[in-house]
Amino acid sequence: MRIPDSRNTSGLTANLNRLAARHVSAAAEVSSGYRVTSPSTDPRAAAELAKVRHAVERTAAFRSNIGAARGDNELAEGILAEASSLMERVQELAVQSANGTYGASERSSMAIEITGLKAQLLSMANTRGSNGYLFAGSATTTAPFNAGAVFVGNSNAHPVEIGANQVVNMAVDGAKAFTATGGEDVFLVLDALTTALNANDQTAIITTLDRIKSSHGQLVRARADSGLLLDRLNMSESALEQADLALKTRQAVLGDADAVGAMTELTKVQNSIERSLAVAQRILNIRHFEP
Amino acid sequence: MGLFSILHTSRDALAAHSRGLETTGQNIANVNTPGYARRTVVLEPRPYGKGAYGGVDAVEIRRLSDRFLEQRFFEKSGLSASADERDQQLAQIDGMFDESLSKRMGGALDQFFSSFSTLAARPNDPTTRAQVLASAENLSSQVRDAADTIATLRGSLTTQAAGVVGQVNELAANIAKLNKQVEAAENAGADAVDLKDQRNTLIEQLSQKVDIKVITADSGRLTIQAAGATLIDGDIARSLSIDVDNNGGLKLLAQRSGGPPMDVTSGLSGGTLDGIFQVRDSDLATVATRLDNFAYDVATAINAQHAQGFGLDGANGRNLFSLSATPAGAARSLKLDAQLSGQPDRLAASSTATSLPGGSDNALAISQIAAQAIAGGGTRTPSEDFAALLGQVGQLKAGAASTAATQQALKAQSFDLKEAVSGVSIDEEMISLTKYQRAYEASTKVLQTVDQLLQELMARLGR
Repeated sequence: MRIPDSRNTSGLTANLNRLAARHVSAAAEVSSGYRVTSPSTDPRAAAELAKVRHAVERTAAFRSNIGAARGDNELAEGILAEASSLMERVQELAVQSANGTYGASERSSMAIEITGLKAQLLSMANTRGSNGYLFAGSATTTAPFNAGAVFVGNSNAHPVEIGANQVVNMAVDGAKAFTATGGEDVFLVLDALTTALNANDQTAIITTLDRIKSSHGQLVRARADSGLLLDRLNMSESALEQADLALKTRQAVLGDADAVGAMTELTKVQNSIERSLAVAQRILNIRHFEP
Repeated sequence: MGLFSILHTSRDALAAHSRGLETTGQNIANVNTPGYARRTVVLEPRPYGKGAYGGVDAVEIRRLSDRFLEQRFFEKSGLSASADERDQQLAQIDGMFDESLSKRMGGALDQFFSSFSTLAARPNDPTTRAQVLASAENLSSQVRDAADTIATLRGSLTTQAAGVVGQVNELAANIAKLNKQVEAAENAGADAVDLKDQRNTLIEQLSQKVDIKVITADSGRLTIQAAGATLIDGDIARSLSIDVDNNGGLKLLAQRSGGPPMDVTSGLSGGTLDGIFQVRDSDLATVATRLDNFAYDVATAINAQHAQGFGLDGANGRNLFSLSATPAGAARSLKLDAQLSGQPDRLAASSTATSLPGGSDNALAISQIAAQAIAGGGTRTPSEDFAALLGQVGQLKAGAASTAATQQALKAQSFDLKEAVSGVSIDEEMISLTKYQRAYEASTKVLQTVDQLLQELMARLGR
């Protein structure tokens, strides 16, 4: 076949164009640090990356939810622990006052302390968390216990996503912890004790002892529920941490540039361009005429 | 045969080899001229005897070309131009879906669902509610921007197609004029090779705009079909035009003598015009439809769930997004519903009025749509549907790039084959130059010899 001069130049131009395209692609990979710099670079990987990025974002949201839920539950657990301690002090006072050696004035002093403890407990039951009142159910903007210590909240659940298909109820049921819904209305028990102390009624005081014990148990159970939820949140957090690591590893495998490979390709292409230009120079420098 | 007849022979030889040198010079001069086909001098011996004194005659300057190789090159050139155009246009859409450096539609979708998950944890937190509204606004804006970009690109392709058709018509008119000039020159017995070169250059340009078929009749009359319809018949040029059909698709119309224009869209198979038609009415239409379906499926599922919930103001039945009633045009119409705009308290996080303000079941249900197969005819989750859309865009662009590379290689191959016949080789021309130079020198020597002989003869006769 005849080889006209146009063949040399067209071949050189086509080869240099191809090398220039590879050079742009390799340079983009090296400079951006990403292998998949557009969907067409690797359509299958780009589609999978979109799904992995979605999973990473969801995992971050779940972890953020766990953070919020844990904060409020730790607070609730702490409050319930304090409330339990408070009830232990009430129990202690009740047992002491049930002793026949105590007189009316001593019992009256104890009644004052119980009233103070009740006010303290009421304040605890009306503690606010990151999402409003902790023990109010879904009525988070209103104090769950009014001035008369009557429960005005509700027992609605507060579902929170902590994983794919994993929802926990982060609400600590105030009704169950402090009112007759859980067995005893703690505030009424304290009122009964105060009344009995003020009346210097030993029999009535003795009658409240079981109710106080029961109220304490009720608060301990509520605290245990919070503790269990915290355990579950911690386990989920740990699982999500591992999932996040796996997802980010997958993301890197799919989309990140192989630094060594990309640099090697860039160097190879640069060398090829230099060689092509050298060949072009040689071809174009062939002298058909002696000057 | 006498000495004087040898003088005639030498004169013819000098003239013939001079034409050879001239032609070689022209070939060398045009080594880089696009469309130039090398020439060769066709030499024939003159008859000898019975009053004829022999010698050589340069009977023709022949333009060396192969019409079948040229037709093949025109065809490949058109296919390559079509593939290049498609590849370049799709690069814009490919870039639009690039999520590697910044979060775009995919990132906005992820953030949207995450914001509802956060809202479920903090249903009456004003900051969280404001973030949910912002993420919904961002998602709708990203989808709308993508759809608007596609629509704008389709619009600019319509203008571009009209421009290409204008160039086709101008080229057709010029080729028809050259056809007339070639015919006139040949009828007058003149050399028309330069005119044919000019015509070939224009035909090559035409082949890059639209697919063509060049038919040369035995009489030399040239007919060119474009998209299957006759565009040039000898010195008559017809014109192409474009129109938009009822579905918004482009139509290529060919002028007919004595009738309405004929729709030749289905015959279009090459050239930039074909690339424009493919990108506009196939690739972009596919992506736009897919984007519309994605927007419609996701937004209607979210709206249905959102409408079931209650805002902090105790009202329900509100949509989060407003969009078209059908999938067609859903992406371009998608926006935050006017009732929700600037009203984060109206986000329906609670599933019942009685669980306000801390109820979050509905926010949770909206967040969980992220894991439900509500798109792609109930086969894909929103993020899977977006990933499929992304993959399809990538496939279209990667396919176009691959086709463009293949067609460029085929065009280069057919160019090489055509040039193997028509292209100028300096090496060959150098040999020809030497060949004609030596022949010219030898003829001069013959002339000198005859001259010497004649001088000697005259001298002897004169004594």
